[in-house]
Amino acid sequence: MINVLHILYLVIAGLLALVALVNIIRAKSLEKAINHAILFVPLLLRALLIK
Amino acid sequence: MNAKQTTRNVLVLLIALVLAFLAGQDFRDMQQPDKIYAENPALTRVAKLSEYNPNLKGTAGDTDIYVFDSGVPGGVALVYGGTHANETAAVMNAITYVENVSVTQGKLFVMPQANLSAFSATLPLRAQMGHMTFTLADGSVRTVRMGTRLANPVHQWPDPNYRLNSSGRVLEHGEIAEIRNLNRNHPGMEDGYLVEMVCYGIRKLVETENVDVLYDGHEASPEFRAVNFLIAHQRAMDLGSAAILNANLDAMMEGDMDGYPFKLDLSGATSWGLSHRALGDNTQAMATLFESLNPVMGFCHEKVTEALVKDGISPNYVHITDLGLLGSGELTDAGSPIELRAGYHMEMSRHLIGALGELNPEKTLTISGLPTFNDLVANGFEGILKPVK
Repeated sequence: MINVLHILYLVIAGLLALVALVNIIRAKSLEKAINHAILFVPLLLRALLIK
Repeated sequence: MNAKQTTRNVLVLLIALVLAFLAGQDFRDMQQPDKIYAENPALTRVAKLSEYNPNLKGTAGDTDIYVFDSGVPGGVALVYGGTHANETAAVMNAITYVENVSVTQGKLFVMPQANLSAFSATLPLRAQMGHMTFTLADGSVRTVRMGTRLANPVHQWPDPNYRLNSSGRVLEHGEIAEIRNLNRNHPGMEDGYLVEMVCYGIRKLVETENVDVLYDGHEASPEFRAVNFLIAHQRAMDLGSAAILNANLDAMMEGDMDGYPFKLDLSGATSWGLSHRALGDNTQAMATLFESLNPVMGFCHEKVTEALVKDGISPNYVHITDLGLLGSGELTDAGSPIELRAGYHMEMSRHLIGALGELNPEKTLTISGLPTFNDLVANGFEGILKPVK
Protein backbone atom coordinates (compact mmCIF):
# COMPACT_ATOMS: atom_id res chain seq x y z
CA MET A 1 0.00 0.00 0.00
CA ILE A 2 2.76 2.38 0.96
CA ASN A 3 4.76 1.56 -2.19
CA VAL A 4 1.67 2.36 -4.28
CA LEU A 5 1.42 5.73 -2.53
CA HIS A 6 5.07 6.44 -3.35
CA ILE A 7 4.41 5.77 -7.04
CA LEU A 8 1.33 7.98 -6.82
CA TYR A 9 3.55 10.73 -5.34
CA LEU A 10 5.85 10.56 -8.35
CA VAL A 11 2.92 10.62 -10.77
CA ILE A 12 1.32 13.62 -9.10
CA ALA A 13 4.61 15.57 -8.91
CA GLY A 14 5.39 14.71 -12.53
CA LEU A 15 1.96 15.73 -13.79
CA LEU A 16 2.06 19.02 -11.91
CA ALA A 17 5.53 19.73 -13.32
CA LEU A 18 4.18 19.01 -16.80
CA VAL A 19 1.20 21.32 -16.27
CA ALA A 20 3.55 24.08 -15.08
CA LEU A 21 5.74 23.55 -18.16
CA VAL A 22 2.75 23.82 -20.51
CA ASN A 23 1.59 26.95 -18.69
CA ILE A 24 5.02 28.53 -19.20
CA ILE A 25 4.89 27.90 -22.95
CA ARG A 26 1.31 29.20 -23.22
CA ALA A 27 1.70 32.24 -20.93
CA LYS A 28 0.47 35.45 -22.52
CA SER A 29 2.71 37.79 -20.48
CA LEU A 30 6.25 37.70 -19.09
CA GLU A 31 4.94 37.98 -15.53
CA LYS A 32 2.73 34.93 -15.92
CA ALA A 33 5.56 32.98 -17.56
CA ILE A 34 7.86 33.78 -14.63
CA ASN A 35 5.14 32.86 -12.12
CA HIS A 36 4.73 29.44 -13.68
CA ALA A 37 8.53 29.03 -13.92
CA ILE A 38 8.84 29.67 -10.17
CA LEU A 39 6.42 26.80 -9.56
CA PHE A 40 8.07 24.59 -12.15
CA VAL A 41 11.54 24.45 -10.55
CA PRO A 42 10.62 22.75 -7.23
CA LEU A 43 8.01 20.52 -8.91
CA LEU A 44 10.62 19.27 -11.37
CA LEU A 45 13.09 18.57 -8.57
CA ARG A 46 10.41 16.69 -6.60
CA ALA A 47 9.40 14.64 -9.62
CA LEU A 48 13.04 13.66 -10.12
CA LEU A 49 13.34 12.79 -6.39
CA ILE A 50 16.13 15.32 -6.04
CA LYS A 51 14.43 17.64 -3.54
CA MET B 1 -0.16 33.59 -29.19
CA ASN B 2 2.47 34.83 -31.61
CA ALA B 3 5.97 33.60 -32.33
CA LYS B 4 7.56 36.37 -30.27
CA GLN B 5 5.61 35.34 -27.15
CA THR B 6 6.44 31.68 -27.70
CA THR B 7 10.13 32.48 -28.08
CA ARG B 8 10.05 34.55 -24.89
CA ASN B 9 8.30 31.78 -22.99
CA VAL B 10 10.73 29.13 -24.22
CA LEU B 11 13.56 31.39 -23.03
CA VAL B 12 11.92 31.64 -19.59
CA LEU B 13 11.60 27.83 -19.57
CA LEU B 14 15.29 27.40 -20.44
CA ILE B 15 16.29 29.78 -17.65
CA ALA B 16 14.06 27.79 -15.26
CA LEU B 17 15.77 24.56 -16.35
CA VAL B 18 19.20 26.09 -15.73
CA LEU B 19 18.11 27.24 -12.28
CA ALA B 20 16.66 23.79 -11.58
CA PHE B 21 19.97 22.22 -12.63
CA LEU B 22 22.03 24.55 -10.42
CA ALA B 23 19.71 24.19 -7.41
CA GLY B 24 19.51 20.47 -8.02
CA GLN B 25 23.29 20.16 -7.64
CA ASP B 26 23.05 21.31 -4.01
CA PHE B 27 20.26 18.85 -3.30
CA ARG B 28 22.06 16.03 -5.13
CA ASP B 29 25.19 16.73 -3.06
CA MET B 30 23.13 16.02 0.04
CA GLN B 31 22.22 12.63 -1.38
CA GLN B 32 25.85 11.58 -1.84
CA PRO B 33 26.84 9.20 0.98
CA ASP B 34 29.43 10.34 3.52
CA LYS B 35 32.83 8.67 3.30
CA ILE B 36 33.49 7.01 6.60
CA TYR B 37 36.94 5.62 7.40
CA ALA B 38 36.50 1.86 7.55
CA GLU B 39 40.11 0.67 7.73
CA ASN B 40 40.33 0.24 11.47
CA PRO B 41 42.06 -3.17 11.76
CA ALA B 42 39.80 -4.01 14.70
CA LEU B 43 36.70 -3.74 12.49
CA THR B 44 35.20 -7.21 12.01
CA ARG B 45 32.71 -6.35 9.27
CA VAL B 46 30.27 -3.72 8.03
CA ALA B 47 26.71 -4.98 8.32
CA LYS B 48 23.54 -3.48 6.88
CA LEU B 49 20.37 -2.82 8.84
CA SER B 50 18.48 -4.85 6.22
CA GLU B 51 20.11 -7.94 7.72
CA TYR B 52 17.75 -7.37 10.63
CA ASN B 53 14.76 -6.19 8.54
CA PRO B 54 14.90 -7.47 4.94
CA ASN B 55 12.18 -5.00 3.93
CA LEU B 56 14.82 -2.26 4.16
CA LYS B 57 16.99 -3.75 1.42
CA GLY B 58 17.44 -1.29 -1.44
CA THR B 59 15.70 1.53 0.45
CA ALA B 60 17.03 4.84 1.68
CA GLY B 61 16.85 3.51 5.24
CA ASP B 62 19.36 0.68 4.87
CA THR B 63 22.18 2.14 6.94
CA ASP B 64 25.61 0.71 7.77
CA ILE B 65 26.46 -0.90 11.10
CA TYR B 66 30.10 -1.31 12.05
CA VAL B 67 30.72 -4.52 13.99
CA PHE B 68 33.63 -5.02 16.36
CA ASP B 69 33.58 -8.64 17.55
CA SER B 70 36.41 -9.70 19.83
CA GLY B 71 35.40 -13.38 19.61
CA VAL B 72 35.62 -13.51 23.41
CA PRO B 73 32.32 -13.93 25.29
CA GLY B 74 31.28 -10.81 27.11
CA GLY B 75 28.92 -7.87 27.02
CA VAL B 76 27.34 -6.38 23.90
CA ALA B 77 26.71 -2.69 23.28
CA LEU B 78 25.15 -0.62 20.52
CA VAL B 79 26.39 2.97 20.19
CA TYR B 80 24.61 5.04 17.60
CA GLY B 81 24.11 8.57 16.36
CA GLY B 82 22.20 10.13 13.51
CA THR B 83 18.72 9.46 14.83
CA HIS B 84 18.41 13.16 14.05
CA ALA B 85 20.79 13.98 11.24
CA ASN B 86 21.27 17.60 12.31
CA GLU B 87 22.70 16.51 15.69
CA THR B 88 26.23 16.16 14.45
CA ALA B 89 28.12 15.57 17.70
CA ALA B 90 26.42 12.19 18.10
CA VAL B 91 27.40 11.28 14.54
CA MET B 92 30.99 12.40 15.16
CA ASN B 93 31.10 10.32 18.35
CA ALA B 94 30.07 7.23 16.43
CA ILE B 95 32.62 8.01 13.68
CA THR B 96 35.32 8.37 16.35
CA TYR B 97 34.44 4.90 17.59
CA VAL B 98 34.52 3.44 14.07
CA GLU B 99 37.95 4.90 13.36
CA ASN B 100 39.67 4.12 16.64
CA VAL B 101 38.01 1.57 18.88
CA SER B 102 39.39 -1.86 19.57
CA VAL B 103 37.45 -4.58 21.42
CA THR B 104 39.22 -7.31 23.35
CA GLN B 105 36.22 -8.81 25.13
CA GLY B 106 32.60 -8.73 24.08
CA LYS B 107 31.05 -7.20 21.00
CA LEU B 108 30.35 -3.63 19.95
CA PHE B 109 27.98 -2.37 17.24
CA VAL B 110 28.36 1.23 16.03
CA MET B 111 25.80 2.91 13.76
CA PRO B 112 26.78 6.49 12.83
CA GLN B 113 23.73 7.35 10.71
CA ALA B 114 20.66 5.66 12.16
CA ASN B 115 18.11 7.66 10.10
CA LEU B 116 20.08 7.56 6.87
CA SER B 117 17.30 9.16 4.83
CA ALA B 118 17.42 12.26 7.06
CA PHE B 119 21.00 12.97 5.97
CA SER B 120 19.81 13.66 2.40
CA ALA B 121 17.64 16.64 3.34
CA THR B 122 17.99 19.81 5.39
CA LEU B 123 15.69 21.68 7.74
CA PRO B 124 13.58 24.05 5.64
CA LEU B 125 13.59 27.76 6.47
CA ARG B 126 16.38 27.39 9.07
CA ALA B 127 19.35 28.43 6.87
CA GLN B 128 21.13 25.27 7.92
CA MET B 129 24.56 24.38 6.59
CA GLY B 130 24.62 21.20 4.56
CA HIS B 131 28.04 19.91 5.58
CA MET B 132 30.56 20.19 8.38
CA THR B 133 34.14 20.10 7.11
CA PHE B 134 37.44 19.27 8.76
CA THR B 135 40.80 19.95 7.10
CA LEU B 136 43.22 17.29 8.28
CA ALA B 137 46.96 17.62 8.86
CA ASP B 138 47.75 16.10 5.45
CA GLY B 139 45.62 18.72 3.71
CA SER B 140 42.74 16.38 2.88
CA VAL B 141 39.21 17.40 3.80
CA ARG B 142 36.70 15.22 5.62
CA THR B 143 33.07 16.23 5.34
CA VAL B 144 30.01 15.07 7.20
CA ARG B 145 26.49 15.90 6.06
CA MET B 146 24.29 17.83 8.44
CA GLY B 147 20.83 16.64 7.60
CA THR B 148 17.47 17.16 9.19
CA ARG B 149 15.49 15.82 12.10
CA LEU B 150 13.07 13.84 9.97
CA ALA B 151 13.40 11.39 7.11
CA ASN B 152 13.42 12.99 3.67
CA PRO B 153 9.82 13.34 2.37
CA VAL B 154 11.17 12.20 -1.01
CA HIS B 155 11.75 8.78 0.58
CA GLN B 156 8.61 8.56 2.71
CA TRP B 157 5.35 10.11 1.58
CA PRO B 158 2.64 10.92 2.44
CA ASP B 159 2.54 11.81 6.12
CA PRO B 160 -0.72 10.32 7.38
CA ASN B 161 -3.37 12.49 8.99
CA TYR B 162 -3.50 10.05 11.89
CA ARG B 163 -1.23 7.20 12.96
CA LEU B 164 -1.40 4.98 16.03
CA ASN B 165 2.16 3.75 15.92
CA SER B 166 3.79 0.64 17.31
CA SER B 167 4.53 2.28 20.66
CA GLY B 168 0.94 3.31 21.26
CA ARG B 169 1.77 6.93 20.50
CA VAL B 170 -0.86 8.77 18.50
CA LEU B 171 0.55 11.00 15.79
CA GLU B 172 -1.99 13.58 14.67
CA HIS B 173 -2.45 17.32 14.15
CA GLY B 174 0.86 19.08 14.84
CA GLU B 175 2.72 15.79 15.30
CA ILE B 176 1.88 14.32 11.90
CA ALA B 177 5.36 14.88 10.48
CA GLU B 178 6.81 12.86 13.38
CA ILE B 179 5.99 9.71 11.39
CA ARG B 180 9.38 10.50 9.83
CA ASN B 181 11.12 10.91 13.21
CA LEU B 182 13.02 7.79 14.24
CA ASN B 183 12.76 8.74 17.90
CA ARG B 184 8.97 8.65 17.98
CA ASN B 185 8.43 5.33 16.23
CA HIS B 186 10.33 2.74 18.24
CA PRO B 187 9.98 -0.27 18.49
CA GLY B 188 8.82 -0.07 14.88
CA MET B 189 7.02 -2.27 12.38
CA GLU B 190 8.47 -4.88 10.06
CA ASP B 191 6.47 -3.62 7.09
CA GLY B 192 5.27 -0.09 7.72
CA TYR B 193 6.44 3.36 6.80
CA LEU B 194 10.17 3.60 6.04
CA VAL B 195 11.06 5.03 9.46
CA GLU B 196 8.94 2.39 11.20
CA MET B 197 10.85 -0.29 9.30
CA VAL B 198 14.17 1.29 10.35
CA CYS B 199 13.02 1.25 13.97
CA TYR B 200 12.05 -2.39 13.62
CA GLY B 201 15.49 -3.16 12.20
CA ILE B 202 17.14 -1.54 15.22
CA ARG B 203 14.88 -3.52 17.54
CA LYS B 204 15.74 -6.80 15.81
CA LEU B 205 19.44 -5.91 15.93
CA VAL B 206 19.14 -5.43 19.69
CA GLU B 207 17.18 -8.68 20.16
CA THR B 208 19.18 -10.84 17.76
CA GLU B 209 22.60 -9.75 18.97
CA ASN B 210 21.56 -9.76 22.65
CA VAL B 211 22.61 -6.14 23.11
CA ASP B 212 23.05 -5.41 26.81
CA VAL B 213 23.31 -1.63 26.65
CA LEU B 214 22.30 0.77 23.91
CA TYR B 215 23.40 4.39 23.66
CA ASP B 216 21.39 6.76 21.48
CA GLY B 217 23.27 10.04 20.95
CA HIS B 218 21.41 13.33 20.47
CA GLU B 219 21.86 17.08 20.70
CA ALA B 220 19.52 19.73 21.99
CA SER B 221 19.00 23.46 21.84
CA PRO B 222 19.91 25.66 24.81
CA GLU B 223 16.19 26.02 25.54
CA PHE B 224 15.80 22.30 26.14
CA ARG B 225 15.40 21.35 29.79
CA ALA B 226 17.66 18.28 29.71
CA VAL B 227 20.94 19.34 28.08
CA ASN B 228 23.84 17.10 29.16
CA PHE B 229 21.36 14.68 30.69
CA LEU B 230 21.53 10.93 30.37
CA ILE B 231 17.97 9.68 30.02
CA ALA B 232 17.80 6.08 31.16
CA HIS B 233 15.16 3.38 31.18
CA GLN B 234 14.46 2.20 34.72
CA ARG B 235 16.58 -0.92 34.19
CA ALA B 236 19.49 1.32 33.18
CA MET B 237 19.40 3.76 36.10
CA ASP B 238 22.06 1.97 38.16
CA LEU B 239 24.22 1.71 35.07
CA GLY B 240 23.76 5.40 34.33
CA SER B 241 24.58 6.39 37.90
CA ALA B 242 27.75 4.35 37.90
CA ALA B 243 28.80 5.69 34.50
CA ILE B 244 28.36 9.34 35.50
CA LEU B 245 30.19 8.81 38.79
CA ASN B 246 33.08 7.06 37.07
CA ALA B 247 33.27 9.69 34.32
CA ASN B 248 33.58 12.46 36.90
CA LEU B 249 36.16 10.54 38.92
CA ASP B 250 38.20 10.08 35.75
CA ALA B 251 37.94 13.78 34.94
CA MET B 252 39.15 14.66 38.41
CA MET B 253 42.06 12.26 38.07
CA GLU B 254 42.95 14.15 34.87
CA GLY B 255 42.98 17.41 36.83
CA ASP B 256 39.49 18.75 36.07
CA MET B 257 38.05 19.09 39.56
CA ASP B 258 34.70 20.32 38.17
CA GLY B 259 34.19 17.06 36.32
CA TYR B 260 31.59 16.73 33.59
CA PRO B 261 28.18 18.47 33.67
CA PHE B 262 26.35 15.16 33.32
CA LYS B 263 23.03 14.53 35.01
CA LEU B 264 20.73 11.52 35.11
CA ASP B 265 17.01 11.39 34.51
CA LEU B 266 14.50 8.56 34.35
CA SER B 267 12.85 7.85 31.03
CA GLY B 268 9.29 9.14 31.12
CA ALA B 269 6.62 6.46 31.37
CA THR B 270 4.71 8.20 28.59
CA SER B 271 7.70 8.76 26.30
CA TRP B 272 6.13 6.36 23.84
CA GLY B 273 8.13 5.79 20.73
CA LEU B 274 11.37 7.21 22.10
CA SER B 275 14.35 4.84 22.16
CA HIS B 276 14.97 4.93 25.91
CA ARG B 277 11.34 4.02 26.67
CA ALA B 278 10.27 1.85 23.75
CA LEU B 279 13.45 -0.16 23.26
CA GLY B 280 13.84 -0.51 27.01
CA ASP B 281 10.28 -1.82 27.36
CA ASN B 282 10.39 -4.10 24.33
CA THR B 283 13.89 -5.61 24.43
CA GLN B 284 16.32 -6.94 27.00
CA ALA B 285 18.71 -4.00 26.55
CA MET B 286 19.39 -1.24 29.05
CA ALA B 287 18.36 1.73 26.94
CA THR B 288 19.94 5.15 27.36
CA LEU B 289 19.97 8.45 25.49
CA PHE B 290 22.25 11.47 25.96
CA GLU B 291 21.74 15.09 24.86
CA SER B 292 24.65 17.47 24.28
CA LEU B 293 24.31 21.23 23.76
CA ASN B 294 24.07 22.54 20.20
CA PRO B 295 23.24 26.27 20.02
CA VAL B 296 22.37 26.27 16.30
CA MET B 297 19.37 24.07 17.09
CA GLY B 298 17.76 26.86 19.10
CA PHE B 299 15.62 29.76 17.92
CA CYS B 300 17.59 32.67 19.38
CA HIS B 301 20.94 32.28 17.65
CA GLU B 302 22.52 34.76 15.26
CA LYS B 303 23.06 34.33 11.54
CA VAL B 304 24.18 30.78 10.78
CA THR B 305 27.95 30.73 10.29
CA GLU B 306 30.61 28.11 10.68
CA ALA B 307 31.56 29.68 14.03
CA LEU B 308 28.05 29.03 15.28
CA VAL B 309 27.67 25.57 13.79
CA LYS B 310 31.12 24.17 14.50
CA ASP B 311 32.23 26.15 17.52
CA GLY B 312 28.84 26.77 19.10
CA ILE B 313 29.62 30.46 19.65
CA SER B 314 26.49 32.55 20.16
CA PRO B 315 26.56 35.94 21.93
CA ASN B 316 22.75 35.90 21.95
CA TYR B 317 22.67 32.77 24.06
CA VAL B 318 25.44 34.07 26.32
CA HIS B 319 23.24 37.10 26.99
CA ILE B 320 20.21 34.87 27.61
CA THR B 321 22.31 32.80 30.00
CA ASP B 322 23.38 35.95 31.88
CA LEU B 323 19.72 36.86 32.27
CA GLY B 324 19.20 33.54 34.06
CA LEU B 325 16.63 32.33 31.56
CA LEU B 326 18.08 28.92 30.74
CA GLY B 327 17.62 25.78 32.82
CA SER B 328 20.36 23.52 31.55
CA GLY B 329 21.68 24.75 28.19
CA GLU B 330 23.75 27.61 29.55
CA LEU B 331 26.39 29.01 27.24
CA THR B 332 29.57 31.05 27.82
CA ASP B 333 31.81 33.00 25.45
CA ALA B 334 33.81 29.78 24.97
CA GLY B 335 30.85 28.36 23.09
CA SER B 336 30.02 24.69 22.67
CA PRO B 337 32.46 23.35 20.05
CA ILE B 338 31.81 20.12 18.21
CA GLU B 339 34.83 18.49 19.86
CA LEU B 340 33.52 19.26 23.35
CA ARG B 341 30.05 17.96 22.49
CA ALA B 342 31.34 14.83 20.81
CA GLY B 343 33.78 14.39 23.69
CA TYR B 344 30.88 14.36 26.15
CA HIS B 345 29.18 11.67 24.04
CA MET B 346 32.39 9.68 23.95
CA GLU B 347 32.93 9.87 27.71
CA MET B 348 29.31 9.09 28.51
CA SER B 349 29.14 6.07 26.20
CA ARG B 350 32.60 4.83 27.15
CA HIS B 351 31.72 4.87 30.83
CA LEU B 352 28.37 3.19 30.27
CA ILE B 353 30.29 0.37 28.61
CA GLY B 354 32.75 0.31 31.51
CA ALA B 355 29.99 0.28 34.11
CA LEU B 356 28.31 -2.65 32.35
CA GLY B 357 31.20 -4.91 33.33
CA GLU B 358 31.43 -3.43 36.83
CA LEU B 359 27.82 -4.19 37.62
CA ASN B 360 27.70 -7.47 35.67
CA PRO B 361 31.18 -9.05 35.46
CA GLU B 362 29.98 -11.75 33.06
CA LYS B 363 28.96 -8.96 30.67
CA THR B 364 32.31 -7.21 30.55
CA LEU B 365 32.88 -5.36 27.29
CA THR B 366 36.48 -4.22 27.08
CA ILE B 367 37.24 -1.42 24.64
CA SER B 368 40.33 0.70 24.04
CA GLY B 369 41.83 2.98 21.43
CA LEU B 370 39.48 5.93 21.76
CA PRO B 371 41.17 9.33 22.11
CA THR B 372 41.00 10.89 25.55
CA PHE B 373 38.56 13.73 26.12
CA ASN B 374 41.45 16.18 26.59
CA ASP B 375 43.12 15.02 23.35
CA LEU B 376 39.91 15.46 21.38
CA VAL B 377 39.24 18.93 22.76
CA ALA B 378 42.86 20.06 22.42
CA ASN B 379 43.56 18.66 18.94
CA GLY B 380 40.09 18.94 17.44
CA PHE B 381 38.68 16.58 14.88
CA GLU B 382 41.28 17.98 12.48
CA GLY B 383 43.85 16.15 14.58
CA ILE B 384 41.79 13.04 15.33
CA LEU B 385 40.03 12.04 12.12
CA LYS B 386 41.84 9.82 9.66
CA PRO B 387 42.15 10.56 5.93
CA VAL B 388 39.78 8.60 3.72
CA LYS B 389 41.22 7.35 0.46
